[in-house]
Amino acid sequence: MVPEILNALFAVFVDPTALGLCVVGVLLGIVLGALPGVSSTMSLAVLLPVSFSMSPTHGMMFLMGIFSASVYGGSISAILVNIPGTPGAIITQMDGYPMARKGRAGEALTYALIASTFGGILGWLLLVMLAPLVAELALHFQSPEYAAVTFFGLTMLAYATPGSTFKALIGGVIGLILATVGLDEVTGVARFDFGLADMQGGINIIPVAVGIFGLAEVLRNIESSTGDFEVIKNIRRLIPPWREIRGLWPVAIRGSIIGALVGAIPAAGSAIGVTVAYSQEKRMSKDPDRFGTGIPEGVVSPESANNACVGGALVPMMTLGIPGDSMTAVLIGALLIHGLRPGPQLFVERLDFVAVVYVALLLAILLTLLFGLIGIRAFARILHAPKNVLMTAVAMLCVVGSYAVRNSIFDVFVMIGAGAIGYLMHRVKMPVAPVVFGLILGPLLEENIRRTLIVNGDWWVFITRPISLSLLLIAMFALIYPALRDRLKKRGEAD
Amino acid sequence: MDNYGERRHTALVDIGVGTVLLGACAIGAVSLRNNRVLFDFDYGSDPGPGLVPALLIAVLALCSAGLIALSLFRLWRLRAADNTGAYTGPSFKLMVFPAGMTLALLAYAQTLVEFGFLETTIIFTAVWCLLIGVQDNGKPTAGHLALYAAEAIAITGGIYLVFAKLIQVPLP
Repeated sequence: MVPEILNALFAVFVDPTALGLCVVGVLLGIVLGALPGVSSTMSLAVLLPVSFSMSPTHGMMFLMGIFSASVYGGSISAILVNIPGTPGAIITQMDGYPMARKGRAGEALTYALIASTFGGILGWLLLVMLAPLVAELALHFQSPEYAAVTFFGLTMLAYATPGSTFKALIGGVIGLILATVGLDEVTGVARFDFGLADMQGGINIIPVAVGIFGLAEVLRNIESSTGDFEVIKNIRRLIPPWREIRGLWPVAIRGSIIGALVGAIPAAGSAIGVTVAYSQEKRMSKDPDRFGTGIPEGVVSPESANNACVGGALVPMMTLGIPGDSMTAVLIGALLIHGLRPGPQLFVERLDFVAVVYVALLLAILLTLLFGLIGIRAFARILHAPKNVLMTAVAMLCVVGSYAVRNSIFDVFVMIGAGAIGYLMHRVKMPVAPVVFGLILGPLLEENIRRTLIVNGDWWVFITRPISLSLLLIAMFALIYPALRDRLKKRGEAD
Repeated sequence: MDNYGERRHTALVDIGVGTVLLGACAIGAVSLRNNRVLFDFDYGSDPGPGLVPALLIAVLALCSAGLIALSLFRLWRLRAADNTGAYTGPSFKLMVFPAGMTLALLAYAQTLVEFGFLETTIIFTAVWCLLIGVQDNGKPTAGHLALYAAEAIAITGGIYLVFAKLIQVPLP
């Protein structure tokens, strides 16, 4: 793999367009990630259509820049405004904002940036080392294992999503059903088309992802006036004391390892990685009550985990075609648009492209560090962007981006419908990411179930094959565990 | 901890959601049933294109029924418990702007191809920059109005330049 990575690195450095697109992606990622009300997933979903006319390499450079940088960008508003710009920054704000209020805003931002870089690099190393091994294992998978791992991915998402596991599962099933709309790939028979020619083409992932992650968030943001939020403007000292920095390396290492490993679990996402890392750090601390009062450990731990999750989440995405989180779900859409199907075959047929992804991520991490150091104070000013401009612009980008997929107004209507449904799902506390996951994984699940039944003739094979059985058992446990845990907890409280 | 009113509201909403989903399952089931090719044709050893959709519809119907049943059970338990505390969560009034934007977007998409991108987008962005601006800043002054108009032109122009000129997407 090293020769391919070096080749890709050389190819990128002699291509100013590729470098330029990575720079643009990083800058956009930091800016959009920093804005309250614009999440990393939303940034990626809304800007994804811009990459359609690019080559796969250029598209990856651009999207990886946004992907990696927006995760760091979320910490800026978490620290200065006490509103996380991204879900992963929810934990960062617990100590980041108090630290800023103590007059250490600049130091908190620097800690977030350095921890993000450290975590990002460790996550990248995990990706480079682990992905080929997983891909090699997955090459031996047959249809039952693929079907089981897809089911496993969906149930892990249901388990990992905050809120009701049951409702997340329902969302996943809705996504799976949406994936069956249109012409069946094997027989060409139309399903759920209701006599409409446009429906026979199926429901494209991109408009649904743009609607659910983009437009739905716009609709949530315009429910009411957000009012003026207080932004801490006093960013004086940027470099923390060296003695303090020296003591934080073990924190960054622990956070990064936890984040990278959790991120590698299909559908787990950064929220879990960040929470586990922070909880672990607090448990190991000699004075856990200090957490939440504005201590550097409370910023370094979640930020290193958050960015390590980026590399970790790419492992299941690249090797199995299963999203590691909602951002990689959007990235899968990008790969499909460029005619690339993520999975173990990618490591056999397009190892050069895999190397491009690695190089793109590494460059994005390093460029984030560079621009973060140069522009910490400048990025903080972005927090005052007027909401009416931002929300209207994002809504327009959603429309144009959806149209750009197939030059079809039908996709725009699909996007608007997905956005409205995504908004209503938020209102009824039903997680939305499982719908997109189901839409992505649906074709894979159906194809492998049918192939299994064609080859083996019965359903028992899912249970008689050890890997398939193991994955199904873990999946069932993940579904039952939350209900069991709640019941045991209630019984304990009653006692 | 949610109070009685909030838990009751959640249970009622979940019953509504479950009912809507059951209705969707019924529509899906009818669609499958009317499409005889899905099940009547002999696809050899392939179970056919009807199996997975039928299974998924069945699973969704079960889950929806389960959601309704659980919610009814929660409501029944709430009747026996201490029923203090009114619902203080978000009201339906909050849905006015989102509903308005959704309808506006539908109208915008409908007119996009007929009248062209620039004309329809300028109008849409101007209206929504104004509406969201009024929501946040109150009654607009002449200066605000000029600013909102400039914002609409900037957004439309920016998106047109990026998509039509830079990445060459053929906009209507």
